[in-house]
This record gives sequence, structure tokens and C-alpha cells, in this order.
Amino acid sequence: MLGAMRVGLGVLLVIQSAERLWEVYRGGYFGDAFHLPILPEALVPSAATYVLLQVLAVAGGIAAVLGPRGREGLLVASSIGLYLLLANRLEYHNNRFALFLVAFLLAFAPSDRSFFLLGRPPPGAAPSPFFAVGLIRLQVVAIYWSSSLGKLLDPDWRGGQTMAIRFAEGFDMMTARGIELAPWIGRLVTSPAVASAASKAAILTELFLAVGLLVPRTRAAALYVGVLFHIGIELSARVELFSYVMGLAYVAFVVPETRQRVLEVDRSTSFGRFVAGLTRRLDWLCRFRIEEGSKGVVRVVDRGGEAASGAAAWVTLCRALPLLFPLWAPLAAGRRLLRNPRS
Amino acid sequence: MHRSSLDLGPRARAVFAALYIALLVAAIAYGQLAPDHVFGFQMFNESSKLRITLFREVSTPSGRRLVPVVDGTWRARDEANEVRTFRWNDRVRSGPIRRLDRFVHASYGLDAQLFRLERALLDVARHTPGDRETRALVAVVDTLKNGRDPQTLRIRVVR
Repeated sequence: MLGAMRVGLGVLLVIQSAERLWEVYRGGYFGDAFHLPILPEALVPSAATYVLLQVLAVAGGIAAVLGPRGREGLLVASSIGLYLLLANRLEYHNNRFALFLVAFLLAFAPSDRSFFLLGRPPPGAAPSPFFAVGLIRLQVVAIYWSSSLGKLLDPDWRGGQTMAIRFAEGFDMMTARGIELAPWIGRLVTSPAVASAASKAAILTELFLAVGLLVPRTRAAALYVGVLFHIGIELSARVELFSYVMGLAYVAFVVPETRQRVLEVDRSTSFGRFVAGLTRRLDWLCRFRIEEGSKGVVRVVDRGGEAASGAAAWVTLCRALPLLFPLWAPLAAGRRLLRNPRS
Repeated sequence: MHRSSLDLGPRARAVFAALYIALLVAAIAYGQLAPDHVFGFQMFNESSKLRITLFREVSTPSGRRLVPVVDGTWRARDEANEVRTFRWNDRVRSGPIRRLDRFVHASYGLDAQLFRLERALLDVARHTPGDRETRALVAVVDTLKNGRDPQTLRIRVVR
């Protein structure tokens, strides 16, 4: 579980540092132009040191992806990233800060027990992951608290003014790109009432995530809302790596179990082989043991021993496989509706 | 059992967690107070715009006057009386404040960009020692805070 997170964060760290190196190549070193250090100017790296640090950060990210010394790689890359944010606050972006913090914390979790692309994970039982994983959870929740309270205390945000401008600009941009929408859609989207409702919905969503992720009973629902929320942000705004960072950080909220669920398939049928192959490829959090089942039946036995087949099995699969997770709620709702059409 | 040097013991974990939480709270509190909300996790905090028009204040026989900087470029004489060319973007290369004479989105809010603009003006004033003519740099900034009525303000930095 944490191994998948290590690999994902490693990829993002490599992308992040590679982009900074590309900026140096294209536009020069930030220290040769206007910059704003939080550290004393004497601690701002020279151009050569900056490039060396970014190369080291790329190497750290690659180590995290490959596996051996991956935790040390996370520590090196994230520490360099945090130091360089302090060296120039013009480079500060929330997504980069969140990436470095989550990667830094994951270095202290036993994320070196799986997902090795090179060599083998060290033998023996891993120490409890709760310490660092708990801090990652706290970090994620702190982001939502800070963001939602900032919006809640701002009358322009609360009242919908900020959102109204954003919607109007989005509408104008679509029109400029030749995307024709019916006039009534334009009037609706840019109306103050819709902007006000959308603002309140956004604030409530973030507040729900800030609380719901911490409460075990609401955690799955909060993760689901969070995934949709970040997909929405990714589609509607340019937020660099933010959606991916938060998606990976969500792994910290998953119950730390390995292969405690069983998927039973009939491999003599092409459908059974398809389900087994799909699960094997998408089971990044190592939730399922795949076993031979009864003829023609796909059956899932959950952590608590509850068995499900047919549509119910797909609901359980979607809940546990990250890529299919967005399908979980509509499938579960559809199944419930079909079973109890009057409810 | 395999142990990494990053697997902390119980006491080190407690110290680490306490330090981390304290630093996180301090960073977020700093972010709320800082004009650019650095470390504050303030996402999409404004839909504001600004337009920067840059002027140079120069001395003339009839007194001081403002000369507009066109396309971010100006020419002025140095100590050797040679005419030299100076460019805003030689120093200011990133963020919305690198663009002059047109409205741009004020990412992280107006306060963030005005804070950065003032520092940028100071930086440019400090890094153009060859300009013997310019007495001060003046930025006239038109702002549209979250779509409200436009306001104009002026930032002047003496060289």
C-alpha cells in the first residue's frame, strides 16, 4: 500500500524537479533575476549548487520509484524541495509545498516493503506505519481546514463574488475558443445565485473533507467526495500536480491491510480471466488474493468475511481498486435502487 | 527484523511528531498573515486582476516629470554619458508582475502581487546602476478586486 504511494510520489518529485531544471535551461537561474528569499540571501544557492540540488532531487525521486533506498530518496528530494521554496518564495505553489511535505513524511513510514522495480524489498515484518501515516492524514486535513476557513472568512468568497468572476471568465474562454453554448446556459452559469450556491458548496465540501476524512464512519464517503472534487479541479483549473498529490495522499487513509480480501473467479471462462487480470493490474494497494472459484461465478469475500457475487461483487471491487473508485458510489446507489425500487 | 535508519524509536517519533505539528501550525499561521499567503494553503483565494503601467521619474530643467516605460524598455544615459537600454524583464521574469500594460490575473490575490511588485521595483532600482537619469520608478496599478469597481494605486520607489 505505502509502496504504491512511494512510487507515485517519486514520479511527481522527478517531474517537479525536471520542470525546474527545464526552467533554468530556458529562462536562466532564478537567483540572477528578481527573487524573494525567506532565508537570508547568503543561504540562497548559487546557480551551480541549484542545478546540482535539482539533479539530486531527480535522483531521489528515481530511487523512490525504483525501490532500493527509496525512502532516503524521498527524504533527499523533499528536503531539497522545501529548502528551495525557502530560497525563493516566488517559486511557492501550494501543490509543490504539499508534495514535499507528504513525501517528507512518507520517508519515515515503512514504504520500502513493496513495489520494487529493482531488487527486492528487505525481509522481515515492517514496523507499524501509523506514526508517519497519521501525520500524513493530519497534513491532508490541515490543507482542507486552511483552505476552507480562508474561503469561509472571506465575504467575497462566501457570497459568491469570487466564484462568479471565475465562472464568467471560464464562459468567456470557452466562447473565445469557439465552443458555443446555449445562451441560457451562459445566463445560468454566470448568475449570482449559481455562483453563490457553488461557493457555499465548495466551502462545505472542503469542510466535510476536513472532518469526514478523520472519522472512520464517514471516511470512505469523504474519500469519494474528495476524488470527485479533485477531478473537478483538475478539469477546470491549472493546478500543476495538486490533484495527483492529494490522490496519492489519500492512500494514507486506506486501512493498512494486505490481501485480506479474496476474489474468486472461474479461470476456465474468458470473463473470469478478464476479471482476474483486471484486478491484478489495478490492485495497486494489494487488497485482493485471487483464487479459483465456482464455475462461471465472480465472488468477492470482504475483509469481514462477507461474500458478494454479481453486481455486489463489482461494488466491492470498485471500492477497493483505486482506478475504479469513482464508479463505486454510482454502482452502489444503482444496485440499491434496483433492489429496493420504492426507496 | 530489517530496520531503516528512518524507522524512528518511540521517543524520537513523539519528538518528531510534536515538532512537525508545531512547524505546520506555525507555517499555516504565517501563511494567513503574509501578503502572498506563502505556506498558507489558500487555494483560488481571489478572482482579481491588475494592470501595471510603469513610469520613470526623471529630472528636467522644469522639474521632475514622469516618463512612460513603453514595452517594458527604456533608454537612459550612464556615468560615461553613453545611452544604454534597460528592460523590466531582465530582472522580473516570473509571475503576473512580469507583464506590463495589460490586465492579468492576480494569482494568490492582489495583496500578493502588490507585495511582489513593490519588491520587484526595489530590485530593479537596485540592479540598474548604469541608469543615471531615472530618479524613481513609479508603477501605476489598476486593480479589479473580484470584479468590483476598478481602483488605481501608485507605488513609487526612489533609486
